Amino acid sequence: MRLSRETQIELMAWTDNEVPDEVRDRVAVLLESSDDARQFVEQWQASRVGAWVREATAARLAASPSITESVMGRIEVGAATTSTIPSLRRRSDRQRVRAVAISIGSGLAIAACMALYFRSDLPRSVATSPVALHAPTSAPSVEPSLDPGAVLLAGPARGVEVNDIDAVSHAISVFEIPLGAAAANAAKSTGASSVVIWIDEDRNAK
Amino acid sequence: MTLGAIGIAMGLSAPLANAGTPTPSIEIGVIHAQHTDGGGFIDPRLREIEQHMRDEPFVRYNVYRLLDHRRLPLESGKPAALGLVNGRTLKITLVESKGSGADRRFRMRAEIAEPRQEAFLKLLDVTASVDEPFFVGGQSYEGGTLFLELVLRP
Repeated sequence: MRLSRETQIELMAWTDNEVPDEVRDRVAVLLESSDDARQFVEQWQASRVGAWVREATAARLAASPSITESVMGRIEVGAATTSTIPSLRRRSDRQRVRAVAISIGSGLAIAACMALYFRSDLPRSVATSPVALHAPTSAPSVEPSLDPGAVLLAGPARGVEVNDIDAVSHAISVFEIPLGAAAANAAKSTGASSVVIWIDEDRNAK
Repeated sequence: MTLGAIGIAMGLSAPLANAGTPTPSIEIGVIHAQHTDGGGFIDPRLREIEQHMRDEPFVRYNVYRLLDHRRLPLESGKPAALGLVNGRTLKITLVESKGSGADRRFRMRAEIAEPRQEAFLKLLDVTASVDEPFFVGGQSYEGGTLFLELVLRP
């Protein structure tokens, strides 16, 4: 039996205990009757371990004053939906997010080290964002600069970095997403991540 | 300093002036996303999207259709333009590259211009490696939204 996309989403939500009672009952019946469904849930549960490592890492990073001091002035962590949504809001007169370099991605070695370091029971609910946020290395300026040293990160960079966004009167959010398997493989960076830059269509929607 | 010397000096300092260093192209997918009460649908060509259906903001929609797919060559400092289905124009400009081989990183700028109006996206400055996709979403289009999938290709 091939599972529909909707069924897969329901099963993923059920695994995460995020379904209402009626859906839970339906999923229970499905799991009784479908090997495919059981196999899907097992695979999804296994994949969630990787996600937990990312979330736990981010929670610790978010709790670190050295990182958050300069970043939190610029970053408003989205409170809605999932825990993986950092939201960038423009704050200056020109509503510019300037030199907020979002270095996303870390190698498997780093992830493994973090997993060991954070093996204490960190509740998943405290995770705020898996995005490693790096404070700008230069003071914000009104005019754009092409000085690469001002925005590019030092060290081995992987994943997609957002250096600067200006959308005038539109609200901007940046969502971190993991690289898809194919892209990660092609990039030879299994821990790397990507971003979705979301710009509200409505003007003055910030 | 002679004009020739100045020219040579400028050439050496240009970000992508390394002789024989190939510049990448940019692959652009224009994706229409909608939320419907009926069954979901994901264009089979959108394998990257399919892997993010539990992630924000993709989770908001259950129908994804690829409207356009182009690959444009990039040349340092010269914007590559693509007309979008909503009348706006996406412009991508390669700014510089750093590193070499598999570690090579490219910095690019994107703009989404709108006719007779202020640009929808005035500036997006991003650094990425080849084969690392990123997305620009949020533009309203026919009851849904547009996602632009951007991937540098070697």
